[in-house]
Parts: sequence; C-alpha cells; structure tokens
Amino acid sequence: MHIPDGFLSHAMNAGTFIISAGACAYGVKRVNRNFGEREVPLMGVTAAFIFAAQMINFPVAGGTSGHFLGSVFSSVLLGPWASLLIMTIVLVVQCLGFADGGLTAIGSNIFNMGIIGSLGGYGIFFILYNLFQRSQKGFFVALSISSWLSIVMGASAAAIELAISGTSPLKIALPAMAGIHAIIGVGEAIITTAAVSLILKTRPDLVASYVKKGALYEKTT
Amino acid sequence: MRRRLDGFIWVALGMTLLLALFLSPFASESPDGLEKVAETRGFAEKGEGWTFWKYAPLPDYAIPWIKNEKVSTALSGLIGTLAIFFIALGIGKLIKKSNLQKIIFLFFPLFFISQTSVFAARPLTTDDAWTVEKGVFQLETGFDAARQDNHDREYSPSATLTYGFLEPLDLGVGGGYLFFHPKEGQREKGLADTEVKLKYRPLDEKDWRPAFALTGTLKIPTASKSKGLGSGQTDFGLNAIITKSLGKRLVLHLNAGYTFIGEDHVDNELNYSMAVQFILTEELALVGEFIGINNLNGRKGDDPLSGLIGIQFSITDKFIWDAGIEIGMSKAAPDYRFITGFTFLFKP
Repeated sequence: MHIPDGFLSHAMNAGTFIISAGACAYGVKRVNRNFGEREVPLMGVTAAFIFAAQMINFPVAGGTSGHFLGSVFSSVLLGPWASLLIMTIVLVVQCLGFADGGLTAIGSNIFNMGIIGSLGGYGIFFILYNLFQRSQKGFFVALSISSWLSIVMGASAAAIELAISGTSPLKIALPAMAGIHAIIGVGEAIITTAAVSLILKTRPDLVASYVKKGALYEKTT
Repeated sequence: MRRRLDGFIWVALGMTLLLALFLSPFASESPDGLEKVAETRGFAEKGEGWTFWKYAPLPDYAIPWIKNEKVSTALSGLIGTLAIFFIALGIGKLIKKSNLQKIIFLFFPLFFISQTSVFAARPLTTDDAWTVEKGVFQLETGFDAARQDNHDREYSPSATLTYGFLEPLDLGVGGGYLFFHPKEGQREKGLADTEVKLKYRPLDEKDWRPAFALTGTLKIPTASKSKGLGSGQTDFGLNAIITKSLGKRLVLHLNAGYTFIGEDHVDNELNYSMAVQFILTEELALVGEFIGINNLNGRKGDDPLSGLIGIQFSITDKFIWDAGIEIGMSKAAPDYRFITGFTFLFKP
C-alpha cells in the first residue's frame, strides 16, 4: 500500500502531510504522558518486528502479493498513539533507506497506514471489544475484524486520494483497491490474531488493551 | 509485581531478526496490491517518471554491491530491522514519561526566544513573521551550492544584515557573490543582485490568532547582465506571511507573494510556500518546506517547485548554525541545492 512519488498531486500530499504531522505531534504528547521504562524497549522491538514482517510478501490471488501492516497489532500492544508513531518511524525509514514509498507521498502513507490504520483500526477494535463486553472470545473477534478493516480502510483511503489527485477515477480505483486488499486483509487478520495470542500466552501483561480492559492509554503507573 | 522485560525483549528481537534474515529472501516477488491496481488500471507509469528522494542506500531492500539476490535481501532486512529497533528505542526514550518535565523546560525558553527576537529563518526560503528585535543587528552568512537539471553548477556565498528599527519592523540588505560553472562553456563569476527588504508585522500571535507580516523586497541589479549572472533590471516583490505555533514544538509558516519582474518579455511571478519547524531540543530544530513559483504564463513546465529539509542548531542563543538540502520537484527548479550558514545577533 506504499504510495510512490508521482501518484498523488502535490496538494493532496501537502494536505495529508499537515494532518499527519499534526497527529504525530499530538501523538508524541499522548505517548509522553503514558510511557514508562518498560514501554520503550517494547516499542523498539514492535517497530522492528513490523519492519521485518512487512518485508515478507505473501502471494494472494492473481499474481498479486500482500504483506503484514501491523497497525492494529501495535495499537493493541502499545496504544493507538504509540502505534501511529511506530508506523511513522517504519514508513520514514522504508522511504529514506529502502526507496519503498515516495518521500513526497510520506504524508499520505502515514495518513493511510498510521491515522486510518492505527487510530481508525484501534477505534474499531475498541468499539467491538466493548460490544462483546470484553470477553476473551470477543477480544479475538474484535482483533481479527479490526485488523482486516484496517487494511481495507487504508486501501480505500489510498483509492480516494488517487481519485482526488486525478490519477484514477474513484469508481475504478476504489473497488480495485478495496477488493484486492480485502484478500490481503485476511492475511493481516490471521497474523495479527496469531501474534497477539502468542504474546498473550507467554506475557499477557504486555498486551495493554487486554489486561487493562479497554482504554490502555489511560494507564496509571 | 512486574516481571522483568529484558528477557522477553531479547527473545522477541532475536526472533524478529531471524524472520528478517531467513524469511525475507523467500517473500513473494509479485507486485503488491497497489502496484497491481496501478498496472491493471493503467496508471503505473505515473510513478515511474521520477523519484523525489534518490539517495536511499538500500533501494528495494537490496544491498547494491552484493550480487546474490537472496543474500542481499536478507542482509538489508537485517540491517533495516536493527536500525528500526534502535531508532524506535531512541525516539521512545526521548519522549517517555520521565522526560516530560525536562522536555517542557527545554521547550519553553526556546519558544520565548524564538517569538521575541529571532529564530533563524535560514536555511528556509519561506519567510517567517518574526522580526529582528528593536535595536538589534542580525547578520546572516551563507553558502549555497546548486546543480541544475542540465548539470550547470552555481556556488554562492552571501550575507544579509538586518536591523530592528521598531519592535514590529526591520530592514535588511543582502548581497552575495556568484560562481557560475556551466557544464559546457565559459565559467563566470561576479557580484550577485542586491536585495533590500522591509518587513512589518501588524499582528502578533495571540491565542488562536497567527502572527501576520508583510514584506516588500526591492532587487537592485548589481549582478552583471553581460556575464549572464543577472537580468540587469530592478524587480519589486510583495509577500504576505502567516506564522502560527501549533503546540509547543511545531511552528508553521505560510507565504504568498507577487513579484513584478523588471526584465522585458518576462512574466511577473506568483510565489507560494509552506514551511514547518519542528523543535526537537533546546538547541536543535528540524525544518522542512515546499516552495513554488507560478510564472502566470500558463506553461506549467516553467514553474519551479521544490522541497527542502534542514536543521537549525543554536550554538549559543545569539549564534545559530543551519544546513539544508533542497530538491527540485519540477524541471524549472534546481536538481538539488545544498545550503549552509550562520546567523549572528548583536547589539552595538
């Protein structure tokens, strides 16, 4: 889903850049309020895991591949704002170090995968988890649905940006992007659910949103 | 009681590195979702025209000098994973809770300084609404090196002296020297044009309201026309500036202006730009901007558009070092330009 240079108009990129920069600045403030000694190394290793996992493209239908995104995964572990910062770090390093995703499109990529993926994905997780009254089963159902949706919503946002930029009309880009990412999202849901349940088995205290029953960023230490 | 985290972190990091090292070389090489859509829906070529950032050390997750594709991918994955771990760890350490008080203490004095006297505008082209404090001189010295798309090179040392006449009004005079090294043909050097700029700030930043300033710039043609270093004509430009602090660390500057070009058969110009300063520590700020000019001649290809990223580092509160790199995003803008310089403040 990494948008390269040239796909989006400069106005689109400037607009999403402002939104993303503002959200990151606010995210720093929120994370600042809640982070202690133990969250910092966890943030490092989560970001590293997301980067490594994003390299591993798995084949999906029709000669297309997809990869893990990790925005709901990191949201559930560390909270949506820390997740936004993690996605931003990963995207900036991928862009500057590995020519994956355009530098002019960095604002749009952070918007699609950080703001829509992490904040939006976590919002859906939070609502669903509470609808299921925070049962264990509900946790995993909410996790898989929200991680699937994070991919589909992020891809749809990318399609809308492409349409506004005049690259591809919405009625072509939106079904195409949402359609293929609906399949990739299944992979996302499987990996997210498997990884989180593995961590829950070994170190349940690290999955803040599970242990704390809901709003993990309202942590007190 | 909380369990220690170290063990888990090392195990998780080890597993992640193994993942990067042994699974990444066997990843599917098919295009991803967006690439596939771009191919089948016919807009893939839009992304192939140009790349803004051409200096990625490991493009497409490969180490350029390792021939074996699998080894190359595996090692670049390992390097990237380790790099991300340390970067995220560092950023996490910087913003974690225990530093909160310290950070606030660091940022407040800086903002106080920046809004009352100066925070060097260099290396930005975008102007800020702040003026030099009354009775204070500001000397900006700089060195630019630019390469055009056709590989002509330009080097230019420059200096600008600005004096704060009133609290909201300052006047600056700037000039420089140009070395023009075309790829082919005669090298030239000589004085650059001289610019006189008056800045007036009728509105200070207050609550939600941004600061607002106007500048008038007169370009005096001191550069030689016969050597091709200048137009030999006087230009006059007006610029409107909005500066707004967003939170404690972010400052936004917006410019829009119009320049009357004296040279015959050259259209007047409309300029617009947007800059962001991100204050990282007491001494260090990161800056970035987009600058565009519209020649008003209807030909889009003539309009320069470029982006800049840079740093500003306060050695003392009256002595600031800056550096930046500007990258052209359209044919009319330089391919790239390096900028570095110092800003001094002094009171006679």
